[in-house]
Amino acid sequence: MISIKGLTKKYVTGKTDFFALNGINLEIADGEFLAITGKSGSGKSTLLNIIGTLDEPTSGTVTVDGVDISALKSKAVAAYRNKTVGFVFQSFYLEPSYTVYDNVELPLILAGKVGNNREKVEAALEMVGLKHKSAEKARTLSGGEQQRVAIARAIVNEPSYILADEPCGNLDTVNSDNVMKILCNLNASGKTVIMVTHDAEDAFKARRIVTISDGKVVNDEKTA
Amino acid sequence: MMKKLLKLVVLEASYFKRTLIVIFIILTTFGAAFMAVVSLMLDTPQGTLAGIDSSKKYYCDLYGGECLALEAKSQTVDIARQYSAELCYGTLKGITFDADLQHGTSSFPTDIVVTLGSGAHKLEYRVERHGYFVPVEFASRLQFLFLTGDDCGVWLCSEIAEELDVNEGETVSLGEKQLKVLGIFDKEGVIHNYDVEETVLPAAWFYVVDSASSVVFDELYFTYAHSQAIFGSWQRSGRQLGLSDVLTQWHDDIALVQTYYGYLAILLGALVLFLLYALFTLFFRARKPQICRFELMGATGATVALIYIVIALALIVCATVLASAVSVLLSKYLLNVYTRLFNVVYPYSFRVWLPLSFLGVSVLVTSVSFALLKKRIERLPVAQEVRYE
Repeated sequence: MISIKGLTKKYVTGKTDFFALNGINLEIADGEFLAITGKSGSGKSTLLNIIGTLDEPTSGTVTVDGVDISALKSKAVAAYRNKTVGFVFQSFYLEPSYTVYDNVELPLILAGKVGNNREKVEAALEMVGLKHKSAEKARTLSGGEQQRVAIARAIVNEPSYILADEPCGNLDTVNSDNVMKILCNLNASGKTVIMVTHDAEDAFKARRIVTISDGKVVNDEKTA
Repeated sequence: MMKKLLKLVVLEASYFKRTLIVIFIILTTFGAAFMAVVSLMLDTPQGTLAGIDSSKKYYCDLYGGECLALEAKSQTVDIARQYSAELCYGTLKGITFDADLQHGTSSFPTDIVVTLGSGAHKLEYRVERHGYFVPVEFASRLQFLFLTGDDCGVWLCSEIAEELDVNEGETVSLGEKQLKVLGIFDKEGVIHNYDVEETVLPAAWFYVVDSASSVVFDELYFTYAHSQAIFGSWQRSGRQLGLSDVLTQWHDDIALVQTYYGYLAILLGALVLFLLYALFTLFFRARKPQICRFELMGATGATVALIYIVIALALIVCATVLASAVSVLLSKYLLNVYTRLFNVVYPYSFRVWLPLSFLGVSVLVTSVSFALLKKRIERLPVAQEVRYE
């Protein structure tokens, strides 16, 4: 479970302060599929980054499974990124010269698991329907396929939380649908999925939609 | 852990391969250039005449940055050229100077000191360009002084002159070569009837041979007198020292120096590159907070650092080996090629433009490389830019 209390993120731009997040309070239960929406600059990605420890809050706390992640030491942060959360970004951030297999295996290696990884990697690739492409270089794949590899990489360490920032932002409709189906399947298998999107159609595939505007939660609703 | 690290290193190295190749080129070029510079700077002042002491260690001394010419005009050309190319990198040719032979003074201003032998057997000549040619410690062992050039000729020790039954101004046969006896000196090294004003010594090449039975000069004698054509009939008793022996010894010494400085250069270069890389990374991180893509997936900072340290070490080792090879190749073969191509021994100017051209290339390669590196680093380890939209 993720509990966010009084979260603010302030940027100083010149002489003025800009609050990307301004007193966010949010509870995200285990197994939820949460979509965070809002206009560009509303602070939704900043919120996701703080949950993922890619950024630090100015004030407030983010507690994940009872642990205040903003108070974690660097080693614990690394372990958190490696095992508790899996990231999916709009730009995939794959290693283009690595094979699909190597890309997906990377979090396992970083977790200290070297050697018998084939089963886990292939299971992750099976989940996203790309097992047959495991020997191909990432750069040779289409955008949709690359995003699916990124999802496989995100789930290979079996994290509890999937953090997806505009996962369909660079994809066409068909590939978007595929990615969203995968995320829904992951959620159905028990993962908590937190997805930032500005696409209303994608957002409605989640079970809960939180809308942020000017750094504040302005709407929080369950979908049908 | 080791396996994990190796796997990451290989993955990372393959990702960075172009960047690594650039760094490798920089290191190799710097290393080779540095080694060549050090080698040339250290070795080339060691001049025209070589001495071999009782430990058979090659040495020669030169002060003032120039040395006498070795110009192969006689039938010993091949030996002389090879010898000079291999042993005496820094030679000038065509120095013409007025000559005077005197005894027992060292008060002349000098450009050059060439020392032969060692210890008690030392013969030291001080040579001033356009000045004087003065035996400072003119021992009785000097037998003849051999000169080639326009005024090709020889000074003979009186004993030798008697043995050959020649007088000043007459011609003496040395092997196949006819040489004019320019002067005769006694055991004290004094040349009699020598007109300083009229005699100009081209001194393109000269030999000094000591008749003493000391090991030092026997070896020196045979080293220089390797060409039997000229010196065969005069060859003294003593162990014949093969040229290859001298060269091997000498090259061993130089190779050590080259490697030592080469290592230092490459290590320093690598350190500088590494620091620059770190600074670049920090700089870009400071400007745009970024997370390394390995960190994004759960790597600790220490793991990332370790990956790069291993890569850097691998680079350093490979670059050192290659740079050493390049440097040896240059010093050993290129100069010989040059010598054969242009029919002269390694000229003085080579000492200047070879290192300079190396440094020029290094600077060029480095500039381009850093430009590429900067571009690469800018878009490299960035997994996610964390900033408000």
